[in-house]
Amino acid sequence: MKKCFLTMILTLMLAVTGSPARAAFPEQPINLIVPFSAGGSTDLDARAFATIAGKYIGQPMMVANRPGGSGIIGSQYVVSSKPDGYTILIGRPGAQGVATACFPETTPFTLDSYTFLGMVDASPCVLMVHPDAPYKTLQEFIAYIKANQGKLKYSSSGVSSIHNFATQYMLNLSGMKHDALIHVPYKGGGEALTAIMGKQVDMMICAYNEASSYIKSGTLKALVVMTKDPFPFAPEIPTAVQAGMPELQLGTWFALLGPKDMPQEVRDIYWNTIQKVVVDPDYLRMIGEIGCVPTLMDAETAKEYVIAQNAIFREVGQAIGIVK
Amino acid sequence: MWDHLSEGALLFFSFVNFIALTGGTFFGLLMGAIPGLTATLAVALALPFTFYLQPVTAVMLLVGIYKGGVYAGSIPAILIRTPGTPSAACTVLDGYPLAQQGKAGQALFMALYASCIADCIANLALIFFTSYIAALALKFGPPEFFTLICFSLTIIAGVSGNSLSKGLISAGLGLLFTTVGMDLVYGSNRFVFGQVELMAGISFIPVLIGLFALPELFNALTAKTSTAATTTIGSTLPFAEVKRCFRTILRGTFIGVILGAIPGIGGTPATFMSYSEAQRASKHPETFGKGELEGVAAAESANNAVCSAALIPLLSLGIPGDVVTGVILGAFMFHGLTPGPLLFQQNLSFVYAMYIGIVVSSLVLFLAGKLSIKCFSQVTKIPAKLLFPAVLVICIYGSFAVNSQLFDVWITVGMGIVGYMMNRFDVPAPPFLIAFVLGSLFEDNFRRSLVISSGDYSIFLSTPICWFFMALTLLSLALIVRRNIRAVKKSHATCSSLEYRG
Repeated sequence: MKKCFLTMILTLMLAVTGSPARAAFPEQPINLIVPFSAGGSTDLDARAFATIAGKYIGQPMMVANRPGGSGIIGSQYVVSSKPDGYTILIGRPGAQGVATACFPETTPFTLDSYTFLGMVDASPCVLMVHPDAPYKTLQEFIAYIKANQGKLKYSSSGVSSIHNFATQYMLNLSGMKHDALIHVPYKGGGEALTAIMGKQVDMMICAYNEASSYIKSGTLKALVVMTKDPFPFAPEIPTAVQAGMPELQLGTWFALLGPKDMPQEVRDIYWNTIQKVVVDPDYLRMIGEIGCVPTLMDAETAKEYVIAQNAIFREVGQAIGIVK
Repeated sequence: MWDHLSEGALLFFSFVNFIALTGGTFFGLLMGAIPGLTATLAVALALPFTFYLQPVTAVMLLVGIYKGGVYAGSIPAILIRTPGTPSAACTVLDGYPLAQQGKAGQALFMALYASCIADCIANLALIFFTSYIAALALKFGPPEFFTLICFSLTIIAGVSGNSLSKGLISAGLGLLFTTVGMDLVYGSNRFVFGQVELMAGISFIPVLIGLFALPELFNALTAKTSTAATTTIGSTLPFAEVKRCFRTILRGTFIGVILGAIPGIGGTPATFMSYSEAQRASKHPETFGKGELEGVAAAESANNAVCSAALIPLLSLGIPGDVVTGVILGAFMFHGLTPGPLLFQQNLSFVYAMYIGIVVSSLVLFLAGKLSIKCFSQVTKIPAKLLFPAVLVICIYGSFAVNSQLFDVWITVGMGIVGYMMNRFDVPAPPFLIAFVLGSLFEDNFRRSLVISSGDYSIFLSTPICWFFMALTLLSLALIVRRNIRAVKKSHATCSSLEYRG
């Protein structure tokens, strides 16, 4: 009896201390932080990624939602975590884009607070209108706005959302002032899209993956997809070039980020995993259905891309006067 | 149509679907019964598993979890005064007093019967009136929303207890708390005090737990006699009681179906509106809040009707009615199904299979719920000295689990102290809660309407729906004023007659 007890204690001690000093990463489950609530577009993408990535990295990857403050709270959580690779973040153009570029004084982090691990997916912006609207092309719509300055309305998911900034970018490019359209903010992308359906507002610019189900079913109409080349999931929507406004190229992205100063070997493991995930047939099927395109970029390229996009946001923010 | 129906029946009636539905319902029951773990979280957790299932099986699993979770929120609401899910907050008002009177069994069964009856009727609404209800829901823009919320706020008078002024103080406090965080129109931070966690505003569940559960625990601590958690579950529910509450259940279902179908409102306001209408229609409104079975029936019928109704805009327009249906939308899309008019054209047999499954799910919910009441009612047998510490742990864990941040635990503790003080000074908590639920909807839609109309207030009378709710608001205000004047006169009369006699 005593012996049995002793062995139990010993095994327990072994279990606690038994792991070798430097085991290969990862030796425990990984937390993928989604700074938005469950069920949103970021959450869906993250869950698809986590399911497949777990297969390749050798440990389960768990999605943890830490919503609030337009993604700031979850993003800050990752910045203040240990850079051991067990806490990583889905970076999005709201928190890591608009917030860092335009509101540095209220954003507790910068792009340098993160280790970039790579770009995973992207989804281009689309301009959505009601299918009954009199305008059928982007040019007709721009002309309509010009003829009715200050009368038409657009919805967004808040002042600092990419929806708002993308719309202002379009106004800026077509030589109009920021108040040519009235901004009606909602609490989320879904509510903002519903407002077009109920004809409370006239248009909204959002990511294709937010609106794909409405585009496919014809409840809403996309006038332009903000890419250079035809968009593979919806080749019938005119591109920015075809619509006659070639500079109008904007998209949303899903990047994998970790806290600053992550060890090089952990970064390499993540980069290998990302490369395998974005060609996995199950993964392609899942994200294809929700309207995202696998967009592989290594850490440096991803960071450069984000910096370039942020420069646009800053310019727009200055033009509409919310950035000093 | 019959071809598609029989095809749909073939699609649905398989062993795997039953397993998914029943398993989902039990999982939902378990998650819903633990405070802080909501139906939303349960559905999101199950989402990755559905990638590898057939579409019908996947949807059945999620629907089972959703309905089980929403129903089970009532169990801890009744037994330990801690709503398991936000939409069970209203169930506390009468459920817990019933449990204290040793009628926990009656309350639990009433919650189950009301939930299942409402669920059945709402299913029929979903199947037969989807397109009409969805068209109505789309007509709700910001001004319509605002007038609806105005009307909902008049509920405060009904749950204020003896003193309307104390009720208004409580509601004012609730409204004040909703202004914390980033404002919608300008994006400026209000009452944030440099705390990143406050930028998103104060979360609902920590407030809920703090306001209801903690004061009860503090009371138990300070009570001289041991409050031995009323160790009887009580008798089961006589059928006559269900019959008496049937009208209330029907009314609750109707309110739940309409409000549930309007995207962005959610279950909690529907339960309070159903509760206040039940009280208004009752012959003895004074019993509400002191252990009235009709109160439980009103709340629980409304929140389960919302479940099916939230699927209405999802199926017909592709708009999720609440967060849970947002996750279900994701599951649809992972399987290449696009909710909306296209679904009815291209996947009609799938739609029929889903309808059959949803109807069956009411039955599964009933059986699973009955079984779970047996298990959970053991809680009442736990002695208070063991139960209360355990409840405290669950409360703290629940408030942490919502956003996994410690900050929310401090909110809970702070609200617990506020709730205890309110208790001591006889200020009712429900008005605070209602104002807190509706406050941000009230403010956002008010400001959004004025942005749309460029500051013209006539927008609040611009459509028939606005007129309708404005009229209802004025009517219920008039009733409140009349009732209070009468009450004052009555007390004067009794005073003066006493003086006369004296």
